[in-house]
Amino acid sequence: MSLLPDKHPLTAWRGGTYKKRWTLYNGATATAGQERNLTGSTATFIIKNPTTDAVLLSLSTTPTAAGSLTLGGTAGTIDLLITDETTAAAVWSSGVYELLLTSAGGETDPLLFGPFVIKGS
Amino acid sequence: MAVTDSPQDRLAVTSDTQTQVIDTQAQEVALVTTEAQVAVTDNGTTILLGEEVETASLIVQASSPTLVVTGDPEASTVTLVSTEIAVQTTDTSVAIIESGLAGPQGVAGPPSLFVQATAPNLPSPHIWIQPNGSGNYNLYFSDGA
Repeated sequence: MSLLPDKHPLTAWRGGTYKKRWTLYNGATATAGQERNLTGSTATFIIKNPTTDAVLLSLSTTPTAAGSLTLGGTAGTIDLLITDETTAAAVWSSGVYELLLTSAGGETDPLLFGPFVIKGS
Repeated sequence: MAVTDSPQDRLAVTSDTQTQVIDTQAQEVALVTTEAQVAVTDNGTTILLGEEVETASLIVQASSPTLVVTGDPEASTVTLVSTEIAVQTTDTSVAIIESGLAGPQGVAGPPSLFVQATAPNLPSPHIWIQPNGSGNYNLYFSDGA
């Protein structure tokens, strides 16, 4: 049975570095020791134009000049970084994003989705 | 749960949400309880297979929302000598959508009672997000149970 992601809006500021950390837990509470072990997993973060479906930004656990996703192994953390150069150079102000997690076994789960907005001039 | 008054040649099946009347000329109906999830009771007392009873309830559980009680005439049966029969669910997420008599379906013996119910509306496994008080967020997994 497929996993349903949660919807969560994200807002960045044009010209500013954007960082966000999510911590994954196996259950319904933030209990120490229940963090999901992300060792061997990979993640992708993709922002698309909601009308044309064109990719506006694509990040993964392989860092690029645009930013990166960093997984924290047994700590269960996912750190998103979008560099200030990227937000400054963006010619778009809004899109829709997806955060996907691929396990070491190759199974991909969608974790989050929603609007991604860049404010500021 | 109620059982409606009905002519001798009809079986009235009543649940809390619906009433179904099954037309039959049969005076005796065999309930072949080959499914472990099927519980046949008579006023709350479990009926021993092969026992002759005047009333019976077929209880549909969420673990097996679709039941077809048919089958092997050699299997243990409960013989109803009354027109009163009730079909009920034991889970509020299950609703009886159809019941009736089928058969004899090419096999010897009396008609069999079948009951079909809706599948329980189980939520899918999902993620939900909550702020953790430090400016970041936690993601939680639910298996949908």
